[in-house]
Amino acid sequence: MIKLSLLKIKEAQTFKLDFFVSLISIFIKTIIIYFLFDVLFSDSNAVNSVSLTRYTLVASTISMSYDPMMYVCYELMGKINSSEIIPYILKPVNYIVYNYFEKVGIFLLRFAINITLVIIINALFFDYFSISRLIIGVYVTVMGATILFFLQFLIGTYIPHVKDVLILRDVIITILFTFGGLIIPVEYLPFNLDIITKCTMIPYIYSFPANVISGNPLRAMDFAMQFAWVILLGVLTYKSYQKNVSHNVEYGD
Amino acid sequence: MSIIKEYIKISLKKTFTYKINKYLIFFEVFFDFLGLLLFWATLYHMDAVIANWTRVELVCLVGFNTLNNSVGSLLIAFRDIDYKITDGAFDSYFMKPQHPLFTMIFERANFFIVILFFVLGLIVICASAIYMNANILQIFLAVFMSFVATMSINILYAIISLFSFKFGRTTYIRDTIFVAKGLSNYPMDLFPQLVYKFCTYIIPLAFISTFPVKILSDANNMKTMLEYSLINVLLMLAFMAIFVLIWKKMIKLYESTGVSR
Repeated sequence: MIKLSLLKIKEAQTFKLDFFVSLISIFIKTIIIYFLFDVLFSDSNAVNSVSLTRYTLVASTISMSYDPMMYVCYELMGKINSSEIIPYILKPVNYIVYNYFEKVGIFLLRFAINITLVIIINALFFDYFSISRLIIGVYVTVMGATILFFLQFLIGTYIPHVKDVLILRDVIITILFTFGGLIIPVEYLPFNLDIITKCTMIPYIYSFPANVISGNPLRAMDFAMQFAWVILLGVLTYKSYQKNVSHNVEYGD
Repeated sequence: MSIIKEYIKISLKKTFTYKINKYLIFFEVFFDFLGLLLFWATLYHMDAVIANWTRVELVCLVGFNTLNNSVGSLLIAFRDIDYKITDGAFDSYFMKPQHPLFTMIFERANFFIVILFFVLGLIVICASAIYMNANILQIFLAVFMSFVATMSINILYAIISLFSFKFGRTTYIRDTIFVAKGLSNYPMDLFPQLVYKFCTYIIPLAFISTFPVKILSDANNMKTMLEYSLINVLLMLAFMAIFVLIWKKMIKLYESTGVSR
């Protein structure tokens, strides 16, 4: 499986432009957010605009690195509807595990490149760098990517019944983007939405990993909750895959 | 006109093939809108000081951005041009009696999403306009200004996409440039003067939502806003002219089974 990840990394190297472009995107986003937060919180004692910008920078980086996970459902739909899934089902390795290692290799490569740039920006402009936070950050970001992978795969397992699940996937992704803390940490959400959101898997994909890497306060409970969501979604995905896909190979068009 | 009607009918039929789709699309549009509102609500919750902008003006800003999403959804085909060119699927658009781009746009658009964004945006704009005591002329000018600017930005997006005829995939470079489009979600006058002026006189991002809100909130600056509208229209005409020129040049490079020379 690790060899599969390495193979995918080698393939991904042909898309060097992709990495270069993601770096420019991060740079543009950071400048926009910095200007905005600097004006909005210049007189605030409660909120530090620099640490908020640092958070947004890290959250954007994580979001860009998650790109391979965003196509899991779409690719699964293509494979199931065209029956391409059948050879994968017959392989001795479970397709969920196979697909996960395919995606995680490219994700790690992207994350490594993007996060290196973030570390440089942090060290140069925000005067912040913590190696311990970075190590923990890599762990929680991989866990966040795993939650996103399972979520996408779980939606994809219903394709044999409905053929097209992309609209459902888009709704869930929109909810993730709305409440997931892509620009501002979930902790700042108004109307007690922060408490409600923390009972779901939403903050453990973007907000929690971004909080860890950008140096915001940590809670042990968040680590436990993230781990619990990985296990729960993993079990649900496996059960749903066995029931809806593995035993429904004849559904291919 | 009848061909457009047919395209709309087909698109709606496709959307409603599965009953659940209409509810899901409704939720998607709603959460998209909610996300923009929630951003400003969160900033207020954090005691941010948004100079010269009232809460109603910010809601109105969200309304104009929702209207912008409606036009963006209608012209979503521009996003796919490079895929169609590189895999040769662009051929199919030459088989029909309409202009290839016309066919591409109307075949690809999901009119249910376009209508939902349009209605939601318009309701929010009109409700905010009533609250701000704006008259019908102000509403018309503001919506017209926002529509023209949105068209300009989408034409600019299409111009970059057209280079796929020469270079193949342009997705990465185009999407990188268009990260800056996110600026239109915020009041542009909060940014440094250089950025503000660039987004007024070069790339008309400020005309998508910032200026239209100012038109509705202050009836006294109508003369200035009419002058800005003229700049806005001139910019759109310039982008259209560039688009036509580049289209004529690029289409000659197309070699059917995929790009390029």
